Amino acid sequence: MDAYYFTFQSMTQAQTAAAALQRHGYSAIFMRAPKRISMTGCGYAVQIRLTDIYSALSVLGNSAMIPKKIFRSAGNGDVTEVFL
Amino acid sequence: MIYLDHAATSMHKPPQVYRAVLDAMRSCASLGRSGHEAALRAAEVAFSCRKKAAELFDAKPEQVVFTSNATHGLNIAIRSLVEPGDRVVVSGFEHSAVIRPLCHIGANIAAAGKKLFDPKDTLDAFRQAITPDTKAVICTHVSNVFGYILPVREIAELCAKGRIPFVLDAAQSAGVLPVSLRDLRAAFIAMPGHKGLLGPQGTGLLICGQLPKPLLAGGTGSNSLDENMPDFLPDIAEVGTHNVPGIAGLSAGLSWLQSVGIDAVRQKEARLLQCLESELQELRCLQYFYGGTDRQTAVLSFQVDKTDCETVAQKLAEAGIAVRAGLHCAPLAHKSAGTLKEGTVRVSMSAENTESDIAALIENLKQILP
Repeated sequence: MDAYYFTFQSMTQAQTAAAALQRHGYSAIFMRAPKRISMTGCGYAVQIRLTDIYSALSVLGNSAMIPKKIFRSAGNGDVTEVFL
Repeated sequence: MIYLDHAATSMHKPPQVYRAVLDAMRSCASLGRSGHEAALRAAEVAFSCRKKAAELFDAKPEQVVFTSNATHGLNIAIRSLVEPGDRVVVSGFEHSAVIRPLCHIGANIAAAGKKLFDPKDTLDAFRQAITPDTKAVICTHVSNVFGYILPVREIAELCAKGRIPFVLDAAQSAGVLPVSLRDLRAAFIAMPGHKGLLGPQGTGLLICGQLPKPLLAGGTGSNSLDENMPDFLPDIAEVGTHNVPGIAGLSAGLSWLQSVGIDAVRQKEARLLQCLESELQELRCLQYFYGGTDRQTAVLSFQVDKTDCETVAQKLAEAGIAVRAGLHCAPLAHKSAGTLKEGTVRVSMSAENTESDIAALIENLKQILP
């Protein structure tokens, strides 16, 4: 499974998103956004390991929580932005 | 001490509130700044509080802004909506927390509705006072002096029809009466955390139906590269280190309220009000202001003939009974009711009070009456 980071514009949104994903059975971790993906300087993200990003995004979309950006993390620590 | 000053602050909290404050002081760091365990615990405490408040007031968690009290929240709301010279309609029972910021800005204040316990008159007055150039309507839900429950639902409807922002001062109603951001379509609802919501002093909530303007600017733990304040809730209105122990206590207070139910609180308080009124009517040389339990919360003011209200309060305090006297930071309310010169003694009860508290108050009043 790949690890993804969903970033949100506020900590509260990130917490809301993590809670929504957890309710749907995803192992979503609310955390400080790694600096390299924090485009605005500081922020919070939801880290999630999954094979199907679309189902997770569907959960968030149903609650009107659209991530600001999505990043995929490779095993060596590199992250790349995901454009859907 | 028999505590009958709940309109000022709630004195005795549910036990879980004290525990929550202490636990937070021992285990929570600052929220929104770091990623370690103690910081994430603080973030979870805050989020949990926002969720509970959102559920209670029909809002989303991000619409719940932590403030230090209702006055802070009202200042944010007023500064967001009002410019110098703007026409603002308020009720005749507003607290200084509304009037002073408006005066400070230089707003043109129109006070509508000055008849106590007359919702029809109040609503008619608002209908007349709200003109096309009205920039905002700010209304207290319950008078902190007289307990008068204003017809805010109908006033909010007037505002919605006229597309005029409506601000509710829920200082005396949060935790006692239903308050809904969704139903009122309010721009802002301000409330303290330390009265009906049973949290510690130094806490408050501003429920935001629209984006406020920043009252203060500073660090938010977000958008750090930007020298401007964030333009999203709740960060736009929360700067500096949060009062995490206070928020933890407030969260515990909200949990307690959710478990007991606001209806149960209201019913108990209504019974106490009726009990108090039935005792007061037997006393001579005393005038009290009563509108019935459907128009009044458990807040009641009275005056004693030829006796200074502060003297009455002082003598009650010496007997171990806590009330408040004077103008209650609401001179406009006293002006409307005709009690500005003498002030009143205010008894404000909560669901923690009992009929024996009322009996003790009455017994001591009998000693004071001329």
